[in-house]
Amino acid sequence: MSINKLSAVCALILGSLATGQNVVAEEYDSNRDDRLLRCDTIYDGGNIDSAITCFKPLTNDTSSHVAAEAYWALGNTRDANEYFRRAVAQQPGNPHIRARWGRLFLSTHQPSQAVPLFEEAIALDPEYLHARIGLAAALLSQGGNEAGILLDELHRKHPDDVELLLLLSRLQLESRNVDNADALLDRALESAAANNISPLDIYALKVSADLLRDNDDSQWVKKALDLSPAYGDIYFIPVHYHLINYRYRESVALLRKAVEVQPTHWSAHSQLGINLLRLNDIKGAKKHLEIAYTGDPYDTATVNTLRLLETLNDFTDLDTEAEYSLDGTTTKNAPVVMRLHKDEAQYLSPYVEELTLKAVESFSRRYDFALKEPLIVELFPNHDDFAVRTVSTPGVGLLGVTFGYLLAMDSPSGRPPGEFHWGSTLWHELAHVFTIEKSDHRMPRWFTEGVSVYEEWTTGPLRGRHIPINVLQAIQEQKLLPVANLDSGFVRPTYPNQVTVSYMQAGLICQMISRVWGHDKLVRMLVEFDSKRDTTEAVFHVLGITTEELDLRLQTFIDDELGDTISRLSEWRELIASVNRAHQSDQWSTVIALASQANEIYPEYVGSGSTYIALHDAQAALGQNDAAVQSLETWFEYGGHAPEMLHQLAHRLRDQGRTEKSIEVLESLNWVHPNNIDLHEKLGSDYLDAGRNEEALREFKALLGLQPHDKSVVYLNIARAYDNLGNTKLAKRNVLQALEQAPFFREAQDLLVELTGDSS
Amino acid sequence: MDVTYDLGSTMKNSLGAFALLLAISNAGIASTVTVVISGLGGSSDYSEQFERYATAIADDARAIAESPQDVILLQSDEAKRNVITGLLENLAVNNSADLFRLYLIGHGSHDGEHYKFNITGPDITGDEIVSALAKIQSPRQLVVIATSASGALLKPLAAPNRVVITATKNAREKNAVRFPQHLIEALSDPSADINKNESISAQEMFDYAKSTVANYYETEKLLAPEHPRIEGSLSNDIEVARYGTLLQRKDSISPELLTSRETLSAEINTLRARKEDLDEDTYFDKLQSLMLELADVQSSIDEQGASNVDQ
Repeated sequence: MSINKLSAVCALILGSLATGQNVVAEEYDSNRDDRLLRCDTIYDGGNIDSAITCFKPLTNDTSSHVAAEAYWALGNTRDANEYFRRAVAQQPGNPHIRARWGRLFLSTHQPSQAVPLFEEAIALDPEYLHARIGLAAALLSQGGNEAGILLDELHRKHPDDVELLLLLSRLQLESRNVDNADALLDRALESAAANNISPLDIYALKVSADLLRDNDDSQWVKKALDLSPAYGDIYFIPVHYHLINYRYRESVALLRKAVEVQPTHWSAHSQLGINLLRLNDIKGAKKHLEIAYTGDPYDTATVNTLRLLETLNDFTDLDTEAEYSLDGTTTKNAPVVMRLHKDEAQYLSPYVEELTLKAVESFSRRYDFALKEPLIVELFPNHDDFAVRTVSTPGVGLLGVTFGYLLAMDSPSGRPPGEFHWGSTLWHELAHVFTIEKSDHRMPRWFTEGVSVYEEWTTGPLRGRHIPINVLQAIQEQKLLPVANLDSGFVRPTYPNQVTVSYMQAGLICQMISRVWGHDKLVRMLVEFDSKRDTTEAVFHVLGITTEELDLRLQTFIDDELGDTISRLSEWRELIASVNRAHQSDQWSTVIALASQANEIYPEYVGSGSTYIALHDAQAALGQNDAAVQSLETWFEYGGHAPEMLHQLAHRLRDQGRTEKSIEVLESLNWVHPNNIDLHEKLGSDYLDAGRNEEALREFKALLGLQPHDKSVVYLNIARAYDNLGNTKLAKRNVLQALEQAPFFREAQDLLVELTGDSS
Repeated sequence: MDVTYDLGSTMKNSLGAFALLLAISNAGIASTVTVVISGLGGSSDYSEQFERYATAIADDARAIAESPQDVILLQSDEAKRNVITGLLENLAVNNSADLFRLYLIGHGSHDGEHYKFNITGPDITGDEIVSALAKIQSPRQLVVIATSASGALLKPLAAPNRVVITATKNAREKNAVRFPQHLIEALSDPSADINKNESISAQEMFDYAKSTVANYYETEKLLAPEHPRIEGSLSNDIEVARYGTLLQRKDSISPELLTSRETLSAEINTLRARKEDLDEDTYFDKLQSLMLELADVQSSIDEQGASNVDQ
């Protein structure tokens, strides 16, 4: 299969994520044409070949609408789309056709295209239930709580509608309210029986509920397969609830069963491939993705992931080992694989290795957990490759993701300089490995994110606690969620920055638990989660309080830690604006006065528009150089990490003769912007001057990986470092490499003469 | 006679024309002639930039020229079509220099058919430049078109005795280019001198500028709108700048030492070409032996240079 062919199909408007199994499942369409219903019944009975034979002639039906439905049922979403377009043109006042067209978009994961069609159908018939449920489903897949409100409203009016009951039960299952989901599903079963509707989808959600109760032997599987032996969805639908709980191994097991009972379930093959890749089984992933592609070449997830597999050929696996000790005496080793792009492996691997080994050592001890499998660390220079790795589609705004023992993230070169602190991202993801694996993937989302944020703040490579202004604003507006419901802030945010707010809230909760009750309580909570206890139970068992009490304690903690800043947020914002104005008009004394005031209110703020920078500029402009350096130092100590300012600070510190501090600042740049030739040149030279030869070697070798224009100087410096370390053989080899590049290089000639003792 | 050859912003046209004739006349007996022309900026920022770049190139060329008169700088109002074509025609007739170097700094454009170098008055076209340069007799020539859309001239200007450098890979790269800025840096930055022989060749200048241009766009995460190109086999044999003591005092070094240096250099190049065929240790052993010999020769040259300075 050629990559060009893959690219071409990627550009198609309609994919067919949900329709890859040759014929689609239950439609819940009360106005469905009788001929289509007859075919549906054949399909529901598990006679897929007969169902295909039944649907095929209908694609030539004189009714464009029936033809569209038949094409859709056969998985040909492109022609279905075209025939729906014709049908709507022929019958513009028919709300049913518009609603069905919307359903087609919904089934192909394009809710934003579906919404206007449902709205048009509702405008034609405000009470048209099929369109209103479609709209709710579309809104549901876009996130937000609007859908929930709409579903509740519809449910009140139509308490026995099977599709509504299924959607509501899905919501309950996502929130782990399994009993509520079960009640809704029981009602759906009754209604389906009374109205002669296939119960297969209900069975699949029943299996999902059982899975969430850790019942892997659900009776509903047999019931479904007795009814329809090739009903792969009985395994495929529950996979979603494993995936949102990070249970990839279990997902793979279910997906294998799905393709076993229904070998033509292309979506299951696709998901199996994608999830095998998450478990680092590249060969297995390729096999199932290729099967999926053969059956459904329009599935964008399949196509994107196959392209990603081709991209992985440009990556190299570098093996290393982390040392750790759980008891403080016995040291053990854990294998680590760094999967880096060939173009950046040489300059990036020393830093990825340093941070990863440090994290494994630290987190093993801190969370009392020994890694049981090799840890895979992947860094992608192309953000879209990382996005496909993560969610099978480009264009997502994530920085990193952890699937268990495999983590993937943007490489520092994947974003403009300084846009993200890649060292913190790696640290964050590495903490996930431990929380996810120690709890056997059973911890709630808020907890794993909270621990990772807390570890970023307290043990990560970036100093300080970084809480964005809009989060402080949200705290002021009392938008924090109860901890028992905090996961919904990640999964179904109800306002624009709620995910960020939830991250920070979770981080603060973990920081508070560590400070008030002790770090070991965080570890104990992981054990509780591993024992299948939920947040409420874990909090009560470990901390001895209810989650409501924990919420109150958090409020007190926030008041103590950030209360003053939050209460003076408006004043601080006004000061920032005034500082900026004064800065723009070179009113330096005003800048100094107001920036100092702003820094008193919110000393930790080192982000964009930080007043420490304005203060530095003003002091420098007035010739107060020592004070200017001090301002930048304070900014740095609080975690300021804008690359340009760090370079400036390092330069000024060197001018002051404070080489060690200058080195410290330059070192910090490696976690923000390591793909910078200047940085490694300066830092390497400083290390060499300071007699820190091993570190100098690391910097100069990284520098070679960046392909500097003049490599001879770098080889000479490497030779000098080896010479200082007493390794004459490598010193000689490197000085010769310098001279190989630059035969007339005087300093290299001198060193060669010195190393060989040749004084002729 | 004390004549300034910087025909830039301060000179009137009449004086410029006089100085130009004198320059051509003197250039006729030089072993190297360099012509630097800066075009219209279109804005004060670009005008200032182009003049600065052109002046820097001219200054570097003068530093290694046998006579300052071997370097001709045309800027702003002086750089008119008839002046440029006239200058090149005169050089074709009167110049017997071994090496001819031409630098065009400014904005270039391309209308789909023709390249134009933007100057005061009617622009000079690519065809006119190609035609005028075809008459230059120098056995070694360097033509640097450091303008937007300059890639259009890469092939038309190519000739067996000529190295052509353009700021862009084709006519479609029409944005103002950063290339000349990095070209200037190459002339004054010893790190451009890859083999550290204290002489920067056209190839080294190009490599440095190309690398730093690419690095700029990569670092800024910008799509590079310019891709410099080079054509011609003489790029390592054309010197564009020099630094250090050896070459400044070349005349005071004994010819034997210089020959010895060149011979060793050639042997090293031969060895490097055989690297793949040799066992790694053998290769580095042989390299070490040659490098020590070269270091010895270099040391003698340095001593000779220093003692001549002392005298």
